[in-house]
This record gives sequence, structure tokens and C-alpha cells, in this order.
Amino acid sequence: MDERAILRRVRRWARARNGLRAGLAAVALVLGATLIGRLLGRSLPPAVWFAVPALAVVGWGWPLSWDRLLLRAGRKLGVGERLAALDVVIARGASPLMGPLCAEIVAARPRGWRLLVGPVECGASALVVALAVAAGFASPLSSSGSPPQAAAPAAEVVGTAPPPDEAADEAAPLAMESPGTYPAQAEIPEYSPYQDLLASILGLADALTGGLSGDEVAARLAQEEGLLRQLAERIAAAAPGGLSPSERSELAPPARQVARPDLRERLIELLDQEGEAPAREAEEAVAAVLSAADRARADGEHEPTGALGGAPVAGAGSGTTAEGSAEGEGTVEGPLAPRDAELDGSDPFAGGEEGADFPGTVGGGPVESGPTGDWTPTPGEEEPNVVVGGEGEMRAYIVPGIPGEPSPSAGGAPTTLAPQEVEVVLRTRGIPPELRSLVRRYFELIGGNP
Amino acid sequence: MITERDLIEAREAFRLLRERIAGVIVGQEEAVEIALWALLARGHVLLEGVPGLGKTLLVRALARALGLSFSRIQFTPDLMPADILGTNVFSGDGFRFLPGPVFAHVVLADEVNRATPKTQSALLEAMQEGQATIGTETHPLPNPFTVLATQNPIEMEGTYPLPEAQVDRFLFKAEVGFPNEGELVEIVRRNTEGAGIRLPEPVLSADAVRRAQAVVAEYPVPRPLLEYAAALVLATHPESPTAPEAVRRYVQYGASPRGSLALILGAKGRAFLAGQHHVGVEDIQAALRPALVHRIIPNFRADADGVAAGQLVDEAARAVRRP
Repeated sequence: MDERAILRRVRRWARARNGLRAGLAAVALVLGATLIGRLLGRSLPPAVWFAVPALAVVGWGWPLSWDRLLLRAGRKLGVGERLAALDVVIARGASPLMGPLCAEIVAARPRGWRLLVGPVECGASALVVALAVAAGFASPLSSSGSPPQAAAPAAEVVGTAPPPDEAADEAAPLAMESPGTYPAQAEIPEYSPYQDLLASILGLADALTGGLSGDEVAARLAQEEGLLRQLAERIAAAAPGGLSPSERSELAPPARQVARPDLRERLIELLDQEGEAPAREAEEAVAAVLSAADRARADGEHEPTGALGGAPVAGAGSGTTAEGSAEGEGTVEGPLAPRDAELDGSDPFAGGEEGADFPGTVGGGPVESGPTGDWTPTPGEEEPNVVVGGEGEMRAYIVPGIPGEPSPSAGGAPTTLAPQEVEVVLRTRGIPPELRSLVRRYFELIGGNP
Repeated sequence: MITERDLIEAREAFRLLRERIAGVIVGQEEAVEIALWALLARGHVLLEGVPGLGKTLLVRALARALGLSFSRIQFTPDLMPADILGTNVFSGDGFRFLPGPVFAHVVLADEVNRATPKTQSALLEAMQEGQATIGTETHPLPNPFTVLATQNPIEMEGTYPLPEAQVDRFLFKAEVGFPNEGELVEIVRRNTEGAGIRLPEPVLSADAVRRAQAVVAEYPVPRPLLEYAAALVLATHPESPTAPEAVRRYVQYGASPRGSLALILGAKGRAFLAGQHHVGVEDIQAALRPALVHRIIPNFRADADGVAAGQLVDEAARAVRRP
């Protein structure tokens, strides 16, 4: 082999090594930044990954410290100082040592790829792997830095409300995120049961998990409540004689902006009809939601803001809420009825037609329908665990999950709720404060999370 | 023009030379090795050892095997420069130069520290310049020319220790150690059986030695190794930032720039004798003590604490990072 060809090969491999080192350094930097970004709840633009090939090219073209490089490369390739000596001999011109040196180098069969494997490269690779793993498992340090997938529903809430099916699809992953384990209380800073409850009533539960700040959530809640009050006033003003076609066409756009899906659909349906009765029904439907919101706010003013699972709420406040609903607002028929019935303080475990509107919930069918009455597992679908307690086998009536959530019979797997959702459901169902912790624990056990 | 054939022949000749010397000299491989480095580097060696260790025999055997002219000068306090360099004598047709014993390829300056500084200077000047000036005439010394001077580290009474500047002119210093028991038995056997020691037959010639010197001069030394040699010398200077604590504490003056030259030349000689075609870090490290030990001047504290110059050289080497 030509003596210059030997050195050219070494130069190529050395450049490749420099490119590899620079590329690894770039990957480590990007991964480090990604890790920090994740911890802070921010994501890096994908364009930063272009830094990796760019830096690799820069490393490849970086000037070589040729003398020292040959010395180190020679040792790594098992030819000692021969490469460096050959370089000196070539620079000097003809020398009796050139032939023997080349012969020795070729006889040693140096493998250029060995230059790519060294402590620096191995260390950098290990660092990259560690950073990649750490970045993959990193979670935000604060609640304000929610994962990116939770940010989308929040944006939709601010604008036009999504269709009901879409909203349900978005809510489902949220329900699956916390499989029955409540996070430590210290991990939920500034939890506000009042805001959760109000958001749930107004159909803005997603707003609290959408990466919005507390002020933004409060503004969104106020906006939604203002919209409902405006609707209620205008419907109430026209209700005695029914709504004229022009009034109905005027009210239709704001009605479509209502966030709560069942209320929105009901309003649209009622505003399509002429006469006094539909107008009154629409008025009552809006009023029921506003009333529940007022009661929730009243609850919130009596409760200190704190972490989830805090001290039990005073019995008087919650009791008043349940009774107030029953006395002041009455019941609303249609899709809102089941939820309102629960707000009224009626027993959601009592079964009946209202309960049947929430598939898979406790009390989803009459007791007479038998243990396996309505629920039949589809092929490939696992049967829920049979719970045998003091009451005997209860598979037909109680499935793992929370009332109001998807169930196996509805095509979804048994679900559990995020802690905030559980708290909201416990409150919106009108469960007395002294029973809340007991009910929460009950469903935890059923959900397989003792 | 040196060819690859010259390289091969020179290497083979020196391999044979070492075999022949080993057949006469028992042990003392290191001293022989250093003497050959000096010969190949066109330098001179200071051999230090107590009397009776075979220093003179070593030099005689070396000169004989090399096929070079040899002269021995026994230094005494009354030795004059003219006794070394030669003198102009009057003959019928005028003055004629009568060369002294320094005009030989290999010169043994026995107990060099016993002569007066004036005589020492005459020899050392000839070593340095490769020529001798007598009166108004300058006479070149033979080529190759190498001086192997010996001195006795004991019996310092009535001696004239070589000044540092003079010592610096010796490329290497070899310490001739006492033979071990096996070597001693062999020495006794060889000297007491039969006709005694017989000097080796010549295997080289002056011309072959000159070619070998040219081959060794061709040995390439990469720049990082040159920088390493320079760093090693700098580390022997107490005021240098790279000097270790021992050097700062015990060294009065560090090695001279000739130390760097000696390191590289010694490394080249070692590489050649080892059959290599390049100089390595190990070659420089092997040449470290012979090249620097006589160039470091320890201070009084080192004498008081019993710290030798060799130890300080080792400390300096440890403080310098391998290239």
C-alpha cells in the first residue's frame, strides 16, 4: 500500500471520529434540553434536531491536530508511533526507513473503525442513552406544565365547543391517566374544588387540565357563565309568549357556543320548536345549570382551597346544596334530567330510568333484570372482576368504574377517574360530605386499586 | 545517500558487535548499550564506577570489535595538554606535528578527574570541536571519534572534579555497577582459565560505523516526541511551572538544552539497536537517566537528605504527561 494512502485513510477515519463525537455531543445537548424542557413543561421545536447533523458536519471538517492525532491513532491501531514516524519520513522525502515503516504498518493490519471506539465515544454514547431514558420518563415539575396532549382540549374550550362525541373521546384518556392511585397531596398545588366543580357543571372540565393558568381558567368559567346568564335572560324575556322566529334565529348561535354538550343539544332542539312550552323548557334547562353553578360557588366560598383529600367539608354547606336544588329549581326533563336528579340529592344508586342513561354506572338497570341481564361481554372483551362482598355476587350491578364514565357494556374498558374528576363526580352527584370519603374508597377498591 | 541496504547491513553489524562484546564483558549490558548510543550519535560517554569493574576492558573490547583505532590516556595530576593533544617536534626539515593519543577513533580517558583542569579542558575542547589546535595549526580528529572517560566516585582526595560545563559535554553518563554473584563467578572463570580474556575480532570498520551513524541520524522523530523531550528537560528546572515538588526542593540547576539533544539522540540509538524503524516514547524514557543524570546539579539539601540526581530525574519524568 502506498504510504500516502495509509495516512489518507487515517485522516478519513479521524474526521469520521470527530464527526461522530460532535454528533454525539449535539444529541446529548438536544436531549438535555428536551429533558429540562419536559421538567419545565415546555417542548422544544423539532427543528433543534437539525443541530445534530450540522454539528456532525462541523466536527468532520474541524482542523486536525495532525501530529498528535497520528501518535494517538497509531497506538489505537496497534502500530505505535509508526504512523507519526511515517508522516515525518514522507515530509522529509526519500528515506531508507519509508519502506520498512510501510511494511510494518500494513503487516499490523490496522482497522480504521477502531478509531471510532474509545473512552470518549463510549462515554458520550452512554450519556446519550441516559439522557434519552431520562427525557422519556421525565414529568413536569409543576401542574402548570401539563403534557402537550392535554393542551389541545383547552384550546377548543375557548372557541366553539366540540361536538359531543369528540368531547367524549378527549375526556376518555384523561380518565385513564391516573389508574386509581391518588397522587401525594403535595403534588397537587393550589387545587380548587370550587373551580373543578364549577367547570364540571358548566361543561368546562377540560379547561382545568388544558395547561391553563388559574386566572385563565377563572376567566373562561366567567365567560361561559356570562353566556348562560345572557341566554337565560333573553329566553326568560320572551318566554311568556314563546319565541318568535327571529328571536330563535338570534339565540341559535350563542346556544351553539354553550360548552356543556347535553345542554347545548337540548337548547338547539328546543329553539327549533315554536311555542311557549319549548321556550320555558329551554329557560329551565339553563336556569338549572346556573343554579347548580351558584350552589357550587357557594360551596367553594365555605371551603378552604387546599390539596385534594383535605379535611371533610362541613356538613351544613353541602346539605344545603342538595336541598336547595330540590326545592328551588325542581327537575328538568330530557338529557339533563339524570344529572339534575343527582344534584337534587336523589339517590343515584336507586336505579330507575334516569340511571339507565349513564351506561355502566351503578344502578344501570333494574334489579329484577338479574345478575347477567343487560351486560354481555363481546368476544375478546374481558369480564369485569366479580365482586363478592357481604351482599353476594354483584357483577350485574356494579362494575369497576365511576358513575357517569364509560363501562365495558359501552365498549370501553373498566375505567377509573383522575382524583380531581372523582372529587367532582362525588360533589355533582350530591353525595353527603360525611359519605364522600367512604364512597371514594369503595370505588377505589372496586377499581382494583386497594 | 543512505539506502535501505545500508540500514539492514548496519543493523546486522551492530547485532554481531553486541554478541562479540557480550562474549568478553560479563554483565554491564547497560554500559555497553550506552556506549554504543554515544558512538552512533557521535557523542562521548562518562563512565562512573569503582575500580576493577571492567571499565577499561569494556572500552578496549568495544574499540577492537568496532575495528577502530584505540588509545588510552591515564590521567594524572602531572599530565599536560601536550601529552594528550600532541606536539610539534623539530626534525631536520623543520617542525613536524607529532599527534597525541587523542588522535584515535576510540579514546579511553581513564580517571579523567585526576588531571588538572587545564589538561581536562584540552581534552574536552577536542571532544567538543572534533579537532585539536597546536600552536597555529588545527588538526582534525579521526572520524568516527568517541571518548569514553571514566571516573571513580570514591577516593576524591587529590582529584579535580569536572566542572558542570565540562560534564555537560558528555552526551551520556553510564554508571557501571558491581556485578552480581553469577557474573562475578563468570568473570573469575574467564580471567583465570586458559590464556585469559581474548579481545573480540573486529566486525565493523570506520566506514561501516560512519554509515551506521548516518542511518541513525535518519530516524524520524515526530514533533510530539520532540516536545516531550523538551518538557522532560524543563521539568528538571526548579523554577519551571511543570517541575515537581522534589525538583523544586532539591535541584539547584536543571538540565541544559544539550539534555534534550541527548534524549533524542539516545532514543534514536536505542531504537536502531532494538531493530525498530521509528523512535518511540519508551526509547526516550529509556534514555532519560543516561542523558540527564549528570546535567542536574542537586543542591545542598539534596546532599544532606541523601537524594541522588537519578531520583530527581525520575521525579521529573513522572511529572510530565506522556504524549
